[in-house]
Amino acid sequence: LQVIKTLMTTLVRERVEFVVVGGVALNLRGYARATLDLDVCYARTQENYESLERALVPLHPRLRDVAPGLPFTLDARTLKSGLNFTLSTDAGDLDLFGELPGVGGFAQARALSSPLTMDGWTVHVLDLDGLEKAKRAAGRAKDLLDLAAIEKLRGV
Amino acid sequence: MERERSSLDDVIDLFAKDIDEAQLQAHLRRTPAERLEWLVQMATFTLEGRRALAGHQDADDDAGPRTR
Repeated sequence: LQVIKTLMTTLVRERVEFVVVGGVALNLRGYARATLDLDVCYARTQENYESLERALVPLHPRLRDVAPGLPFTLDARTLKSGLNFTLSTDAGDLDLFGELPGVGGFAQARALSSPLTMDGWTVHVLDLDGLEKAKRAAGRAKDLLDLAAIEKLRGV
Repeated sequence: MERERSSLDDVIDLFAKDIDEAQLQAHLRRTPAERLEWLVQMATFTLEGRRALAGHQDADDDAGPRTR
């Protein structure tokens, strides 16, 4: 399994409505930044919960950074009841954002994104304006470095 | 409307000066698919390194008390 790529292609294959955000988006926008997880902002509709369930259940999703053995089932009902989820899967770590701090929900993220096509499949990726809003809201040390990269990318 | 600059912006400017221009240009020349491949490779190297370190640690733990 190719981490990150497998997750993205699986979500695309199952027609999940999502926008790539976070470090992967920054990389795809042109900054060579390594990351181990895929962050996506997903649409909060019943149809999309079901698409997410179909995509992720075969990858055995479990909550990340919680005590091992804590009961958890990712299905449409869980997705509807919750909002943001930090998951580990057989294809790598995945953060699902129903609301992305600094940006908003899926509609707002989608408005601040544009499609990128890779090897015949297309994903919507947050643009530099959206990434700046999200990074300013997150405000961690690594976000300052990312903000510097965004500033630099705007200048080229 | 333009956002007012804050002290945070000064820090960001400082960080931006340290970003390697040649490396940035090299990544910008890659297609989105190539950028994703780069990312997958980096993630794979990191995860393999972590696994190797964990395996080394396990072997060390299994070795029992060290003798001089």
